Amino acid sequence: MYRTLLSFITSIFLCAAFSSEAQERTDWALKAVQYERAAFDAEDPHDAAEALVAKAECYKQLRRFGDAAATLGRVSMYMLTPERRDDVLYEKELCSYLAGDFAGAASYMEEAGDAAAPRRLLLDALVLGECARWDESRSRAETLLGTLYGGDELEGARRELDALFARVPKLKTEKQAVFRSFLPPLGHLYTGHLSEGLVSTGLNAAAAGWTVWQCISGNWITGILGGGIALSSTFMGGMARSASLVEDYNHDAMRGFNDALRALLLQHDFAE
Amino acid sequence: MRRAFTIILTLLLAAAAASAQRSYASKDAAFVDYLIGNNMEDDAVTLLTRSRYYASDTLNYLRGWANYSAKYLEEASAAFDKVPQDSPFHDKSLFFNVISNAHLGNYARSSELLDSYSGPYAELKSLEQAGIALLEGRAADFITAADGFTFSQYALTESERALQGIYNERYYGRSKSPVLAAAASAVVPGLGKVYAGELGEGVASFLTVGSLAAITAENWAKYGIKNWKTILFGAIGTVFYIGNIYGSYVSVSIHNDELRNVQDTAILYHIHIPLRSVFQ
Repeated sequence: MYRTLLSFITSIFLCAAFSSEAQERTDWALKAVQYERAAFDAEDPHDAAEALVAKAECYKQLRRFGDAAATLGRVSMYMLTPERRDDVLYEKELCSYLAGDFAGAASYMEEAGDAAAPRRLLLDALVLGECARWDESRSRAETLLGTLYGGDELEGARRELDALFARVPKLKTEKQAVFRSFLPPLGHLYTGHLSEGLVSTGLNAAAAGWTVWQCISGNWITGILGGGIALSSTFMGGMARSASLVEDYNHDAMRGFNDALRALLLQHDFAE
Repeated sequence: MRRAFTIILTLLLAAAAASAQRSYASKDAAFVDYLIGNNMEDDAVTLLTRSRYYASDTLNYLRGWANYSAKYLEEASAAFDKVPQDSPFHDKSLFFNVISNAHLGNYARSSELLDSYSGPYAELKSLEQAGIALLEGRAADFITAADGFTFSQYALTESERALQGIYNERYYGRSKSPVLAAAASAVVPGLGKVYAGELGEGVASFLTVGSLAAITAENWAKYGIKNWKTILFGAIGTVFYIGNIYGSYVSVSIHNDELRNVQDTAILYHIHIPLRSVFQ
C-alpha cells in the first residue's frame, strides 16, 4: 500500500516536471523563433541556411505556408550542396503552391530545372495545371506515371490521364464577352448563362420598344430621354454583367479541372 | 514515512528546478531588435510571451516594444504600463504608451500618462499634449500645450509646424456646409454635389433630374396632369430631386468627416514620428 502510494505520487511529480517540456515540443511558433535565433547566432553561413530551412518546416506545421515560402526565400542557396539545394527548391515550390502563389511556385520550378523524382513531377504537374499550362502539366503527369508503372498498368493510367485532359477547360476572355454582348443574349451565352441572357434580352427589348412606341406617338422627349436612360442601363448593364461572368466561369473551370487532376494523380502511390 | 517525504521533497525540488529554466530578457534584447528590424515582429512577440524569463523592467519594455511594433496596441500598452518610473526604459515606454492609447482612441489615458510625466523631454511632452488635445477637439488645451513649442529642436520642428497647420486649418479654415450644399441642389439639381467636390455625380444628377422633369413636362403639356405617365414620371422625378438634395447634404458631411479623418491620421503621424528620432 505504502509503495503503491509512493509510486503514484512519484508519477504525478514526474508528469508535472516534464509536462511543460512536452508542451514545448509542440509549440511550433516558439520553435520557429528558436531556429531564427540559431540562424542569427550562427557563425557558419551553412548553419544559418539550415536553421532557416528548419524554421520553414515549423511554419509548415503551423500551416503558415506563405511564411514558410518567405523564410525559404531567405536561405542562401549557394551555401547548400546541390542535393540539398534541390530539396530546398522543392520546398519553396511546395510552400508557394500551398500558399496559393502559383506564379511563384512556377518560378521556383523553373529555377530547379528538369524534374526526375516522382514528388517533383507530381508537384510540377499540379503547379503547371494551376498556371493553365496544360500541355506541360500533362507531359509532367505522363512522365510521373512512367516512373511508377510499366506495361498494362501504365497504359491504364495513361488512358485515365487522356480522358481528363480531353476536358481541359477552354478559358473565356472578357474582351470576347463584351464584344458578343452587342447582340444580347450572346454575351451571357458565351459563359453558359442562358436564362440570365434571356432576361437581359427581354429588358433590352422592352426598353427599345418603349423608346420606339413613344417616338411613334410623337412623345419625342419621353421616348429619347426616358427610353435612352432605360436602354443604356439595360444594355450597358448586360455588357458589364457578361464581363464579370467570365471571371467566375474561368475560376470555376480552372478549379474543377485542377481538383480533378490532383485527385487523379494523388490516387497513385508515390513512396520513393 | 520519513523516507517517502524525503523522496517527495527531492522530486518537488527537481520539478521546480526543471520549470525554472529561466533567463534574463536583456540577453535577448539584440535578438529582439533584429527580429523587429527585419519585419518579424510576430516572432519577437512569440519569443517574449512564450519563453521563460525572469520578471524585469527590460522584459516589460521589450514586450511593449514588440507588441507595439506588431501593432498589438492593447498588449503593448499593458506591457508599457508595467515599466516603473525608475527604469531606464521608462521615458520611451511612457511616450510609446501614449501613442498606443492614442491609436486605440483612449485619449483620456494618453493625457493622463502625459500629465504624470515630469522627465527631461518637456518639449516632446508639449508636442504630444498638443496632438492629443487636437484629436480630442480641445482647442484651448492645444494653445496651452503649443506654448511649449520652440521650433528649435531638429527632431520636433517639422511635427510642431504640422500640428500648428492642422490646428489653423481645423479652426480657422473654410469648411463646407452641408446645409448650403442641400440648398444649392434644391435650386439647381447636382450643384450641391459639385460643391462637395463630386463633379461627375453632380452632372449625372442634373441630367437625370432634368430628363425626368422634361419627360414630365412633355406628358403634362400633351395629356394633362392626371395622365398616368405624367404622374409616374413626375413621381420618379420628385423622388430623384429630393434624393439629390439629401445626397448633397450627406456628401458634404462625408467630405467633412473624411477631411477630419485625414487630419487625425496626420496628427497621429506627427506625434509618432518624433519619438523614432528622439528614442533612436
